[in-house]
Amino acid sequence: MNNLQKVLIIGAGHNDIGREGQHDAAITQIGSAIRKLGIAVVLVDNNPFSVAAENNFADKVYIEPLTVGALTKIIATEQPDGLIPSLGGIQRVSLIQALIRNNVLKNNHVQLLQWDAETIDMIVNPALMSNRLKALGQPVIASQVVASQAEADEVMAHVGFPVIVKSVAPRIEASRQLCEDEEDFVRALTMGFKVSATKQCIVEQSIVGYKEIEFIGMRDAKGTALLISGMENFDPVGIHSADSIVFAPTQTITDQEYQQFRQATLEIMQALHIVGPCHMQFALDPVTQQYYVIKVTPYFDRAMAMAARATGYPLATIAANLMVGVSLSEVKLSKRYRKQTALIEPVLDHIVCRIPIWPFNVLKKVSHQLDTVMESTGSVIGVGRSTEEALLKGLRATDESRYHVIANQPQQYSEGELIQRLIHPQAGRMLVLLEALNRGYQIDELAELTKIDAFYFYKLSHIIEIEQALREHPFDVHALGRAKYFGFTDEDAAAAWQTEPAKVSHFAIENEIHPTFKEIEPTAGEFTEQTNTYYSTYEYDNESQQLAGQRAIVIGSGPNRIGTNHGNDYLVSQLLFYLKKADYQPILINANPNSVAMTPQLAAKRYVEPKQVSDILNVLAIEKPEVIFTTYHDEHLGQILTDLGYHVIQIDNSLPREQIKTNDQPAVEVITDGKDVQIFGISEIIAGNNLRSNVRGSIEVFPIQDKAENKAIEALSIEIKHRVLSYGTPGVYTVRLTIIDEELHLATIEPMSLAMMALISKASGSSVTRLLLHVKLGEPLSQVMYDYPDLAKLKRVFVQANTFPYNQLQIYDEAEVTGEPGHATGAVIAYGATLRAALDALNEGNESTDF
Amino acid sequence: MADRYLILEDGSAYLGEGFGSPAVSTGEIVFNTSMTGYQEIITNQIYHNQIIAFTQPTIGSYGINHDSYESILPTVKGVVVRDVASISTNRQRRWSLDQYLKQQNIPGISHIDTRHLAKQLRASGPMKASIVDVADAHAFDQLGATVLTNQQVAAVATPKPFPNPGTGLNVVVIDFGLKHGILRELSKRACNVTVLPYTATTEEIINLDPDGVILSTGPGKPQDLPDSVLTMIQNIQNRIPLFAIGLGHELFAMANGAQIMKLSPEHHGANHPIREVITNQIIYASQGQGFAVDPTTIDRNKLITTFVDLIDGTIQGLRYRDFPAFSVQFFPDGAPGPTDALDVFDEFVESMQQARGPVW
Amino acid sequence: MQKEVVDSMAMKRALTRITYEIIEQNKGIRDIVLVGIKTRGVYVAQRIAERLQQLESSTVPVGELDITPFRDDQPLDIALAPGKYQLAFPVADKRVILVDDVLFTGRTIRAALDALMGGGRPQSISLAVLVDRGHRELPIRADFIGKNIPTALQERIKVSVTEVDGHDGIEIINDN
Repeated sequence: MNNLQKVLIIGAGHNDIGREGQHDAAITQIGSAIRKLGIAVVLVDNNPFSVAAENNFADKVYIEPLTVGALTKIIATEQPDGLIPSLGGIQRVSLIQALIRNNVLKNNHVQLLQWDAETIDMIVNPALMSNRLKALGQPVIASQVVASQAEADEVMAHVGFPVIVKSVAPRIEASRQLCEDEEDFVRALTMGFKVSATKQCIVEQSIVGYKEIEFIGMRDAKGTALLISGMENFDPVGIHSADSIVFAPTQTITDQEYQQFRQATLEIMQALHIVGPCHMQFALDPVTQQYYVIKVTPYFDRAMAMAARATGYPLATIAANLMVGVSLSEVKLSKRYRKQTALIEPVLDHIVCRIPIWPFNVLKKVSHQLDTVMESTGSVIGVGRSTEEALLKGLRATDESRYHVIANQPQQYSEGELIQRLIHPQAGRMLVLLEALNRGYQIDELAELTKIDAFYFYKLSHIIEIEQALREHPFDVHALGRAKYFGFTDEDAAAAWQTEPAKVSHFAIENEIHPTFKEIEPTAGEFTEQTNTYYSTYEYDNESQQLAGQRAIVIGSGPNRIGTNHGNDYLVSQLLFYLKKADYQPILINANPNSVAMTPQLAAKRYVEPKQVSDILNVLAIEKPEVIFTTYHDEHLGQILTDLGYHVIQIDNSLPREQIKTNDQPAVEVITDGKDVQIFGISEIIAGNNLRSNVRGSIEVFPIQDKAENKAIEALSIEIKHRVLSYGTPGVYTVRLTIIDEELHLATIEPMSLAMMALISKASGSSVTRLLLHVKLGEPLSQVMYDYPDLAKLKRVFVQANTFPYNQLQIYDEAEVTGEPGHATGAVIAYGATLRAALDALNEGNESTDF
Repeated sequence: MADRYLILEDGSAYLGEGFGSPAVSTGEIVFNTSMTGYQEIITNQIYHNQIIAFTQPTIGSYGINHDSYESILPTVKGVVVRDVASISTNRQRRWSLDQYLKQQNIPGISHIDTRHLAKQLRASGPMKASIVDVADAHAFDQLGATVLTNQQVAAVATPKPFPNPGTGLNVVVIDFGLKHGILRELSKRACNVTVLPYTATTEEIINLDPDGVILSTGPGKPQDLPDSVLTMIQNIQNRIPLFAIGLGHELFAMANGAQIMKLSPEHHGANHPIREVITNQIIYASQGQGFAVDPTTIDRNKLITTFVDLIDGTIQGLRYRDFPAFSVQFFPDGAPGPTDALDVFDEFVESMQQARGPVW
Repeated sequence: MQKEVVDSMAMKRALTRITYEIIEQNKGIRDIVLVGIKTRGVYVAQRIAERLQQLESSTVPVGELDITPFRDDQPLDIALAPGKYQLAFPVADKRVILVDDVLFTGRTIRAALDALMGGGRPQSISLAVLVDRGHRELPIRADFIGKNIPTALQERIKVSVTEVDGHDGIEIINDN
């Protein structure tokens, strides 16, 4: 070990496109693993929904702006021995670069862990990376850095269309623009120069249509390196890998190709001395086997999250050990894992399919065209024992309309339109591909048109075949057995047979078609590994047995969507955390690979399953829980389960209901056990950092210490109590007030928003989720509120705002860019001795963010 | 596709769907955890007379490629999978796995709970198994009565010498059921290769004036081979640089007094960490072993342990103390599997060069 | 102009093979001491010692030798400068393996032999070099050779070791 006493982790900040919970999930695991080694962890983050920050996964947490200034002060105060650079996404890498350039690390004797300082420069500037890779003998795409349109035109004269334009040192998540013509080219360059910190772009040869392959490697400081997972994009190069369906393990590449990528991955990691995990993206010419290295990402990202979920390899815990100098052979894991699991290259006996989620249901103006710019807001995974099953379960987990029973719903495209959509894919293209197969397009022809490997079309046509057989054979055991074996559900069969799912379910049970659960573990059954993570399939052997003790199932938040779904994930994670503390055995059902809730420490057991009713019932049949928790997305599901006789606690706290209308709208935040009401404090909404005229974002302020206002509210307290109790169920609520004739009156009452719950938790130091959980479990307020502080003694004002993804999604249309809470992808929090100071801190580092 | 059964010696039966040949077939069943390379595994002669169950669920997705054979003819007795992929055949991929197994008269069975099967075999060790149409008492009786040959090497090794010409060093490969990867790696290093049957005598080998000798991989139990093989190794090893792989390694150990033990559970995969003792480096390599050198029987005055499997401590490499004769249990040529250990072939070539002296 | 002729992997193998050959020829490592000639010979010697330790689980002493004062091609006053040669252990009755990175004219080795003999009478002295590039001017040959690299006289051989140069490798440099 490096003799480290204390390390600093810089968090990811507010969630946004490409930055879901995966960083926070990594920090919760890495923070606790490092602390177990006797090293203190200091965490800086300004994400109010950070579970790591709130639930003591660090020894000390700073809620401070993620800026050079703020971090310089923290480093000077804390004097950490090491800095972990990989847990905050690309934005934090630039920040660390600045800390290095300003000698902040050197002057305070802080060791940069995991990477060389040059690696940071290469991550920020892809041209440097490209040169380094070339020097290592790795094939890279011909590219050149340009600083003007004229220089770019010169490069274009040599390379020819199509080309890719990328911004150098972009201030937002790097986007790659594919340009087919002069018009695209000029537009991409203009945008690229604008977001570049150095006012430069990279112009490079396009390899659109190649296979895109992603490999994740792991390396320790001694140089021992192994492969964690190989993954294959269903969609070819040209579609951002986050917008692509991705399979683990690779499905269509030969061993020679696979080993070529493995070797390149490990060689590059060795040459760059990367410690911890690293994500490599490759393009493979399916004809010549020639490959290119597209991107090297040594910071935590969605691919690493997927690799960890897909393999069951305890990636984050092991990475934590490597970061502080423990070698792979020295890593000590919990007894649930076989000795030396850190050193066993994971192998899979299941297939994982990741499917992206798009924001179109909320933001209509986002381009539906799939290209090199990332537009998905989140993803889900389906896990199964065949490609078909993994794909169908993944599609089902997106909550979109059921894709696969499609023969009844032919798509209304003309032949020309269909071909256009095959060549120029749009989001949710699965329906188009299935439609083309249904219309009799030949597989090889489709593979040629779409550049999707024919293998997948065989799988899709098999799905169509199964569905056809199902429709043609109502209540046929063989047809149902086969359909379920390949990933169909009771609901699918019910649709095909025009009957009720319950009838199908009954028929299946009568005929002994039972689901079986299998463990997701990294050795394909060669060794005993207990990951407590399961998925369903229809086979011979069931491996999941009912947990002993009081079982509570929490239905996870599902995919990250636009709107504060990341807040929902925070809620779910906290429920798991506090259920465990309350001596429950919390069990999670969730299919979001980036979810913080998937952190192994939180739930006693996880089921990676979609949320269709029959999927949930399969789990319930095994676990028979005492209680089930659902969150606001799943109200309908909760109702169904209640009707079926399960004890369901529905938590309806969701988004803020309304946008700011006027300044200074006070509200009283309360908790009730159904008999008594207690006031948390008073909040206020004020106008946000509205960079564009139409954006009317708002800032929540808590607590308000205005004496006159407090008095007035005290006078209303009887009325408030009455109103809250008449609302009924135990919970946490916001009582809004209005000023009529200079007097405060009660206006509306609504469940407290998740954002406000997080804000009060941070401001008071008492978890509102925990309080909510206990009143929901029927405990009286008098027993619950013991640690809630006297607000009058708090000397700080906390402020919090939603952040919007308009820049990233390249939406500029005024009618669309409004700053409704429902458009948010994240939130930031800050505090100060005064409101002014708090607002200044909130603004710091977010000058170009709408909130 | 027709319903078929995989039946095991312990009385268990798995219902599945037949593919490949409709033949009834019996062999020893083992499971392999490799993520890629089914064609290489199926054509590796070490699996002669065995039925291979793949834990990777989808098998066959890239067909059969002309450059992925590890022998001319596969001699496995069956292929057990969860799912067999349909593919388009084209110029690069002339055959699908299904077509190929039909041609080679090898039955396959899909829709098997291969995870459960692997866990079962992990506990029991390899068993006799059959792929049959009906899982009745008669089928189990037949399975029980079947005696598997212990003459696997004789069945697969070349009966006659053949050359694999090159312009570089002169290498004799003794064939016990050669894996093509060995020849491929020697070709890459320009070696002029003569492959000899495993019955070759010391004299026959010496007469070819080789710069080095390789004892190849092969199937079965090393004790089943005639003692003449051990004598040959004893006579060669101190005269010519020697490199032994897989079964060859086991024979090299036996020739120097070590004993071979049954390994349980067996190693069939490519993901175990292996430590190279001299550098303390950890590498990954393809493994296919049902036997291992018993470490307690090694004469430390003669042999040095060079590689160790970090999962179960099995010996993965040996070297004679007094002359350049060394061996590895794993398959350094990959095919399928990691390329981390490829430079063991360079080590061999450099040993031969050193033995010849400088070129000026 | 420079060309890498041995990469880090090949260098690793050369050291490994030299180590095995030392064991082969000495029937073990009893009485063996390694003496590295400064600067890079010392690192080569240390790596061989580490390998021997891994294999035989016992330590082999490594000495350092600065032969600058003993070179016969140095001006006399430097050659006479005393005290530059020192070993942390006696070599009398030991089997000394002298280690250097490159064997060229043989003059360095001759000087090293002079220096060693001044420190007592070893049982034997043998020579291990990472590269033999030919062009000997004295009747000296190496017992353990990592790599024979034929060179032209005007070329130079540059051995890089991670400890000093940040990476391992051997290059031929042609200054013309």
